[in-house]
Order: sequence, then structure tokens, then C-alpha cells
Amino acid sequence: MRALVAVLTASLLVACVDATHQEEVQALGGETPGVPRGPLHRPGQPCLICHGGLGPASHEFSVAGTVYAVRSQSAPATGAQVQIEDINGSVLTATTNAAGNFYVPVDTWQPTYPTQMQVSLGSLSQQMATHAGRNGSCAGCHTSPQGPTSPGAVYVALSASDLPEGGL
Amino acid sequence: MNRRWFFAGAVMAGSMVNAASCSSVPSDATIGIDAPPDSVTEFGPVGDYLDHRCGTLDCHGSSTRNLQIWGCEGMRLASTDIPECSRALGGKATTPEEYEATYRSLVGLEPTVMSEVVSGHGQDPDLLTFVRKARGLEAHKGGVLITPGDPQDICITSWLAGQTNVSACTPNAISYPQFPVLDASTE
Repeated sequence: MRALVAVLTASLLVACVDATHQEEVQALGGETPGVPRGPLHRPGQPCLICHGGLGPASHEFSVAGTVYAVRSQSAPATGAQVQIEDINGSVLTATTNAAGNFYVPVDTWQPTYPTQMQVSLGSLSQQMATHAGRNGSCAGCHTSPQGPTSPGAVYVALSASDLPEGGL
Repeated sequence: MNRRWFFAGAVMAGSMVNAASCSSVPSDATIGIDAPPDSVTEFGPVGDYLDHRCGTLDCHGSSTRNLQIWGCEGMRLASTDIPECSRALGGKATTPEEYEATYRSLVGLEPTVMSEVVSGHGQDPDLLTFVRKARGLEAHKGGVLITPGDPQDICITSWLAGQTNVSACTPNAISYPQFPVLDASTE
């Protein structure tokens, strides 16, 4: 009888696992050596796969992503302001950290989609050409390199020559 | 012996009937439906509106969706193109092939219902699931996008009625969604 209960319980647990989500998490790969889990980890990855409420991360975000200094280059934009506005006119501004990452905890702000975004750093500013319809992960669409289904990573300067003397 | 001849005769007769019935259908025959206009002139403005409003890469600008929208603001058809309309930024405008791909996806969602709506001169657009979802009459992850009578709605329904209201589609419908803060700061 106990064995039967155990088998049934196990099968129920298996049935509750979201296989698609598990595959998405697996596809992200492991942590970069030397970078601990935390605000600086996994720049450029779609944050909400793990931080969207389905786990495995414990901190849940509504919007999160990575901003780079120059289009198609890998240096992060540190201290950039990410302004997010939802369709009701509610605005939240987040600041990128040393990895170029920013994140908005769900208990801080949850937008009503669609949203519009703008990133700025000093005198440089880029407004998103389209709106976001449903995905709070920037890298859900903004992957590198550019291609038919990606505009490339988020950046503040079109070219290095746009940067102020001495860089950012 | 008689039995063998009986079966042989039956098989031959059957084959002749089959051959006759097949040969009566032209090889290029199709089962047709009434469909809305598909030309770039008439569907193009609708396609541009759909690309802008519904075709972002996280929504219907994805090949994983039932309704797939292609265009320069979202998913591109050619492997060498990027989601960018501006030539200055390395992009290019939506191509005729992309309009056709969007058209086929949209009309192919519910072909018999589409046929019914079109044959009724667009009088009952709500019969179509994509209209009900956009109007918020049915569950839609993207929320309520259009209100009956607004330019977006007129763009869609005029096309379904066979007379695309181009001015409703562009630039009016393209002005949605409207963000009070960021849009105002860039004006």
C-alpha cells in the first residue's frame, strides 16, 4: 500500500513539472566561473526564465535585462538609466550595475503591457523603436548577434565614436 | 473458375470507376473560400498596422504562434534581414513576401469563418477569433488592443469588408499604443 502511495505521489510530482520551463533553464547553461550568483551574474541572458516566478531563482522580477555601452560590443553600460513606461503611463526607472544588469522586483513594480523603454547614460539615449507586448526579459528578444528575429543586444551608443572622451 | 473471373471483373470495373472519377477532377482544382483582398495596396497598410501593433518579437512576431506576423518591426522572413525598418540603421521596409506570409497566416487561421465574414461584406467581424481577442471579447495575453470604431478597428474591419481604409491604417492606427510620458518626451 505504501509503495502504491509513493508511486502515485511520485507520478503526480512528475506531472507537475513544467518540462518546457526546465528545458529553457537547462539551455541557459552553468554560471560563468568566478562570477557568483547574484546581481552581476549571467549578463545578456533572459532573466525572467529563472526570475519570472517559475524558479529556480527565489527573487522574482517583473522586468530585467542587460544594457551594453556600444551596439554589437560586449562592454557593459554601467550606471545607465532604464526608463520603463507601461500603457497606463506608470513609469519606473532602474539603474544598471557593473555588469550592465538591471532588474525590477515584482513587489516594487509590475507593468501593464504593452510597455515602452528608453535607456540613457549621460548625454546618450536610445528609445526602443517598438513596444514590448508581454515579455519582461529584454534578452527574450534582444539576443546577440542581430538576426531575423533579434535586433541585437540593448545599447546606449550606436558606435564607439559616440562615447564621451575617456569612455563611459 | 467462374469465381476467379467474377473477382477479376469486379476489380477491373472498380478500377475503371476510380479512373473515371479521378479524371473528372482537374489537376489544378482547389477548394476556394471568400478571402479579403491580398494585394500589397490593399493588405499592405493592414499588414503594417498588424506588424506595429501585434507583431513585436515577444508576441505574434514569432514562428511559435498560431498567428504569425512578419515585417520590419518584428520577425523577418529572409535570413539576412533584421527587425529594423530604417535603412540608416541597416534595416529595410517590409517586403511583399512578408505581407503575403502574414496574410496567409491570418486568413488561414479560420478559413471558413473568414469566408463567411468576407461573403457578408465584413458585417460580423466578431465571428473571427483574432478580432474578438483584439477587442477584448475573448481572453488575450496581449490585452484589449482596439475599440470598435477607433482607427485600428476601422483598419481591420474595412479590409474585411473588401475596401481597406488606408488612412485609418496609416498613420492613424500606427500611432497606437500611446505612451503619455515617453512619447511626449520625444515629440
